[in-house]
Amino acid sequence: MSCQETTVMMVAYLDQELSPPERKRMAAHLVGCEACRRELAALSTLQGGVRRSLQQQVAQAVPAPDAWGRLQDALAGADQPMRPTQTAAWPQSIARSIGALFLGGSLMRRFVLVGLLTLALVGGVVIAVPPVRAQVQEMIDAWFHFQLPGGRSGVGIGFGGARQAFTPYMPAWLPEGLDVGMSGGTTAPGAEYVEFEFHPMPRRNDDDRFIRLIEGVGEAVAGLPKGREVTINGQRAVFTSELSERHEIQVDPPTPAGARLLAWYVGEIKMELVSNLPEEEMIAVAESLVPMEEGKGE
Amino acid sequence: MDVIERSQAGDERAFAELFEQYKNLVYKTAYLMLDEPQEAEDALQEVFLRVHRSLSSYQPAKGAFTTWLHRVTVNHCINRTRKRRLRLLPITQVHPGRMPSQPSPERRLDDEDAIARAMRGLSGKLRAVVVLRYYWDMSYGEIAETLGIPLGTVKSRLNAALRALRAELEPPASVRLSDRDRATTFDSPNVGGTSQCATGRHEDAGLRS
Repeated sequence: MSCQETTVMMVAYLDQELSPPERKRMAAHLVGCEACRRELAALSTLQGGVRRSLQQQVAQAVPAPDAWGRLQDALAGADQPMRPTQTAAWPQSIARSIGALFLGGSLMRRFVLVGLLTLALVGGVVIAVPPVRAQVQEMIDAWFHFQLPGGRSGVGIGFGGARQAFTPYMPAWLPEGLDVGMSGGTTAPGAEYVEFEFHPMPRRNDDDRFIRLIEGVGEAVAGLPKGREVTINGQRAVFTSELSERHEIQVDPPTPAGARLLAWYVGEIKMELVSNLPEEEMIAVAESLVPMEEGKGE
Repeated sequence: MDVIERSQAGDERAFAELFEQYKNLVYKTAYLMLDEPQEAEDALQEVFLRVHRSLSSYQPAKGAFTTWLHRVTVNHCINRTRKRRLRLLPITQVHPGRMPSQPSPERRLDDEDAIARAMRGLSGKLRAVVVLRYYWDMSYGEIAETLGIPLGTVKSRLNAALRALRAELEPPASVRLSDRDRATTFDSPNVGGTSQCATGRHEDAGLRS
């Protein structure tokens, strides 16, 4: 057995998880290899440290006294408590957004943009309630207006600062029954994104139809993946089933099976449309993208 | 009928007992996966909401309830860490790259606090196997069953996790995991490549991108 093979198996050796023949071979190697013995000793020390560290981290950790009360409230708010669906997550997410807007705090950064667009669409709640409106105005200094099928208009999308990276696009056509469920700006090294997710509202099952649209600029989004080529409004586009974690649905995962990615460029913006819809519908959605209209609030 | 069967039959009082009996299991796992008490509280609520909705799908013949509950909890936490990776921030609040941290000289392989900090750099998948193995004392077989992954994957993930922690705690001269944001430039000929490439590289190193 080589040092390299031994190194790969050391953790399992220490955890007593090697087969007897593997264990025997490893022991034989260790007898004659001081470097591996030192490595093994270091890993053994680390394992002990990890165990103690984990115990220490949760030694005093207990749920809040009102945990059951909160759960009861959440269960009471569900339409039919025992149904095997995911509908409860949406009101919860939206409620969090409202709570974050009022209260600030750590939840705000993560959730404030989730559901914000939804709220604006669902009934103008955000812009109708003065205290919320003031907070939203503070958060969102770049307003965009758009139309969805059915004549409803949306407003929102905040870049949260003095600068906006680019003007986002929104589909002018969506398959019947899909609605906008999430929007937000995210970043990664070398890229800035605006993201939207569309699905039935509320999302009922893990395999519901969905669209995840990621619009990104920056050096990290340069280039199209390999795949079957099509055209979107005369521009080269690529279909592939190779997805990365960035393409996975963000609200109420998991991403439904059979999802594909359609990638192309609109100017400098790389468009990535991930969906389990038929390809012709994905293309139709892609071809319907129109730039949002920047405004000065609602 | 035990508490699980009664809960499956729709007995709300039994579900309250179930919550009381298993809340610490869920909370502690979530705490170790997500770091923050508030995140663990949120996870506790969301996991039990999910349990309430899908308890009917649990089949005792297919495995212990705790295995099923651990699976629901860990999968939820992994998804939370993914969302956190793509956290929704106003764009102008975020810098293009994170500042690499400097390794502290006092870091040692048996320093519980340093280990806790180093664990925050592990991806959700690697962290899950560490928590299940070294906190809950599960065998590799039990971890494989809980996560629904092959035994070999458990071995390789634990090995990757321990190696990543070791590299963070005792960084060799040329490679430190805390240099992860620079990794795409120093070990890749494809400088300025796609974020997908960068993500894959980080996953290989066992770190969140």
